[in-house]
Amino acid sequence: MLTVDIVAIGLMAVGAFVMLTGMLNIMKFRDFYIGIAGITFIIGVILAVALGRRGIVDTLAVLFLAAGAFFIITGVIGLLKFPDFYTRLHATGKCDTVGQIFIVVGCMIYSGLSLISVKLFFVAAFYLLAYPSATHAIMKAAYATGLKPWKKGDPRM
Amino acid sequence: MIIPFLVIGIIIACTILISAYRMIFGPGTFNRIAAANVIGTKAIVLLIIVGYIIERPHFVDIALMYAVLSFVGTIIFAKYLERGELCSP
Repeated sequence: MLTVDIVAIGLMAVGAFVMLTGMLNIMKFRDFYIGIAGITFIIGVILAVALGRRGIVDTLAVLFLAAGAFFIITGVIGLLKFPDFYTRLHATGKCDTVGQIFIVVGCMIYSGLSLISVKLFFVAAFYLLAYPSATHAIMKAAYATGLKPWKKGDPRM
Repeated sequence: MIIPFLVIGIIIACTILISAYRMIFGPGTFNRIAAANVIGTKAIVLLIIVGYIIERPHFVDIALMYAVLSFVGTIIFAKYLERGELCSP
């Protein structure tokens, strides 16, 4: 089973490396290569989960949970420190969506292939639809009722 | 493997407390609604994490239900603040 471990870790490492270099625009990759790298990463995760390698699966789950905690803490600092309503929603509307989807995906990887994993997938999909539209609705209501945006030099609102 | 879930649960609870500051003292109505929305969506993840801590992951059903209710509540509140009424003829 050691070869399966090596193959899964290799697939995930190659996929993550190509995705990171594509996102940071270090090399001039196209979107096609980023998509292929994402599929490679997902194939590695599914290989490790389906064969029940608890070491790899637990490590991946902890990594995803830590990434989600980082994004959530960043969003809450933005909610606390930014000077305006619009900038506060700009911080939380993105960071919270990404962080909580990361945490749900970590729980999915920890559960393996089961019914709970399918329910968690529905939670993540609903989350991806609902939370940005709720943010948009609040911000549209605030702009329609005449809340002025903050400009540089104004006091904090 | 309960310790990572415990740590993440404590972190989410602390962020909920920090958001509660913005909900209580925030100037104006919209800051309070935004903070309430943030708290409501963090509660979903906290439910899932608590389900994993006490080793009963079927809390996911409750989390899914709460997600739908929280989303509808936020949308209705935003609509009411924008138009001043709920049912327009």
